[in-house]
Amino acid sequence: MSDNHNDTHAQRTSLHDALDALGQRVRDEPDAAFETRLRAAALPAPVVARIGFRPRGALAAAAVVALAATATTVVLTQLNPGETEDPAALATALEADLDVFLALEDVFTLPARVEVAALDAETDALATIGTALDDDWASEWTTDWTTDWTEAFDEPTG
Amino acid sequence: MIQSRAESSPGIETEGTSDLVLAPKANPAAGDAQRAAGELDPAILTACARDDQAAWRTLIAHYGRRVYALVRSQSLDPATAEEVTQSVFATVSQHLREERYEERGRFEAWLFRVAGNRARDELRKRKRRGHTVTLDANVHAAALNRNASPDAEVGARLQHAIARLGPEDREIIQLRHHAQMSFKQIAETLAQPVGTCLARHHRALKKLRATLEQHGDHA
Repeated sequence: MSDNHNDTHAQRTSLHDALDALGQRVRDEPDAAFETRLRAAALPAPVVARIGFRPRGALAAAAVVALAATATTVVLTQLNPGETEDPAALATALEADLDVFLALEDVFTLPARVEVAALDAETDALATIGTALDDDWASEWTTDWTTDWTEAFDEPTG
Repeated sequence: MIQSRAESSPGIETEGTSDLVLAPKANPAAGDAQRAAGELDPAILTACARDDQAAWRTLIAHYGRRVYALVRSQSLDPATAEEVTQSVFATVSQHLREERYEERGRFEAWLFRVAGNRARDELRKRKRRGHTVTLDANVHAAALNRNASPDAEVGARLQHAIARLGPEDREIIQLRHHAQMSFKQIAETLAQPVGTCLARHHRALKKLRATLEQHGDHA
């Protein structure tokens, strides 16, 4: 081999290695926490992101089950309160409620009765007045229309 | 496992302006065996799909910095490059967990294709927003040149020269040297025959050398 050939070969390989060294410098550029940051970015947060990737059907089913469980609890509590509350306390509370209810009935029903009676009397009075008026008007009307009109305009003779 | 990069310590000496002289080594494809040996066990991907934390640690240790380097080499600043890398792995995670990725032994090709596309998208987005995107790698080179060691100096000059290459030449250099891919993996990523990739790489190196010689005194 000639000296020229050896020189060219040496130059080529040296350039090759210099490029490798440059690449290594670039790869060494990020700090030691680089891989940790990369892993954090690549792997999503365990809970929130995973929900996003679950099939919609499964999510909907979970929501329906949760809703049904809540509704059942509410219904059972309302229909069967003795199982969840003290019976004596419940009886006292019911009695108190009943007293309040009865008192309310007096308050609301008494004025109504009074008013109805007053209204009845008023109606009777109006009916009486009306009848009287009707009678007067009817009599007047009857007089007017049963009288011969010619009589009304007859000029007195003589 | 991550392949050791001890074999790539260059021992570069600079002579004159841009000549890089080194003891002779094997041909450019010689690193392929080592690169291919670094391929990930497909069982790791299956475990990742089950959210196995240890598997995720292995996957990210294996590919994280390589993807970052590929993205960063597209003239993106470190923060943006990391952000894009994170989005790439979020996509990987999503595909694995939703079983949308079918393992056919081409995970690496798929991963780096996603990374390349994402980096290009980010560049386009920045252009639309009016950010100045320059292919002149001054910023990148300056960042790499913070520790002004001889290696860093050479790295900065190389970075300038790579920025002056055409997109196709730049791509093959970045896949090979930043993303550490074997020619077989590059061929799968670019959907081109291995021979074509080797020839492209050879041409790219030649142009890079010419660029270094031409602009060496300005570097």
